[in-house]
Amino acid sequence: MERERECAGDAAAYVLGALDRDEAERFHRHAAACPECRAELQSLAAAARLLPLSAPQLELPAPLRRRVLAEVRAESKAASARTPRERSLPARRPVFFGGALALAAVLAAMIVLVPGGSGTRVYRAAVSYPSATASLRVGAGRPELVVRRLPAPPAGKVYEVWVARGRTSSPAGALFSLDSAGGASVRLHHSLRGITSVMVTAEPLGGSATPTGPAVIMARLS
Amino acid sequence: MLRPPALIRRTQLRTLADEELMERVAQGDGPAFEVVFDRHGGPAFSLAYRMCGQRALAEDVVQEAFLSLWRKSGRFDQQRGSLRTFILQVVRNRAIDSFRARNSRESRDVADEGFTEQLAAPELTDVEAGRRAEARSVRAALLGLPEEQRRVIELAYFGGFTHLEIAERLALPPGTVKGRMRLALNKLRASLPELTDSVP
Repeated sequence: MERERECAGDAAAYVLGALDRDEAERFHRHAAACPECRAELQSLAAAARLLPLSAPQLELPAPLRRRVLAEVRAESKAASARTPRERSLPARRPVFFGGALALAAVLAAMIVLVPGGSGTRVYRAAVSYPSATASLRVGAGRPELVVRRLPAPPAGKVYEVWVARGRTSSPAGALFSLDSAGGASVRLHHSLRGITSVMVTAEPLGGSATPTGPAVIMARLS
Repeated sequence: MLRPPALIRRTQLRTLADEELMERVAQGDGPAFEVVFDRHGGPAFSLAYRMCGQRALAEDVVQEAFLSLWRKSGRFDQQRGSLRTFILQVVRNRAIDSFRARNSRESRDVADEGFTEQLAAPELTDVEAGRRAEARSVRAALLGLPEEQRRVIELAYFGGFTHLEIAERLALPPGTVKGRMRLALNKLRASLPELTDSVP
């Protein structure tokens, strides 16, 4: 491996996550061949690991705990109800299926109302990617859109949630990104009173005033 | 040999180490995950709130981080560090993603919602009391840094800014920003030797 001769003093910025992707990769390659930088990296990383502890220590909010553990219990119960063969199937990475027109054609009109716990109604949404699922949970608290295995939006775009009354859509005030498995749990700060559907489109970073692309997710409430 | 999840009582789960709990979480053991969440949820929420400055946003970040841990427990590799460090890194990454999605990245000081460190002393467990004492030590060391060094550390770690963005924001040469980061971390390490040696 070719060693970059110059030590650029990037170890501190690296452990703070303050290098961009290219700089970080360059430093990583350099440190692999430079004992001095590796030693500094180890020393500074120990200090950087302390930084989150400097935040004022707060109680875990009880509603947050209830929400997370309810989700885990529900998923655990669903998993135990699956057959051993289903449980043994590995989780698969989503596959990106090409252009918007093809995606729109795949958009199935499958709208199912599933009863949830504690008075929560779960609307299963139609998703334009066969590998992905989405559901809208509506209960006493804020509505929550839960997405699984959704492909990342095109470069330079972000997913945006919309609420519609009839044919008129307006922003729900929620842009979201996905975790590495294509999942997201998006709580909506918008009341669903009078809303007939909730949908998601891919929009330019920062969001749009009106949808500029086809719906990737569509949940009909009526 | 790990016993089947059903054969361990919840009280026994609370005595297990993080690594043992995560082995059970990987098998879909919900009660083991509950212990992990109770053990690390507070520090995770504290970091998220420090970065986001808004309770609702911080809750979303923590919820996404822990559900990701539940669904993808295999991503945790104990050879690469402690579970606490792993969780806090996931929370930080998600908070930064959240800033970017909202095109807003103002790291704020917290104190505006009145729930900072609000557990009354008699309710504190030994572990919780130790965690808060540790946090106070680190906070004091950070506050003890020269203002210009503390600022670059906070913008980078809690604000998620790159060194070039910080240089532009503070109208400084990039090399000066990197130099201040290095000085600050070296001072933190020197002022907290017992912690830098013990936090994996």
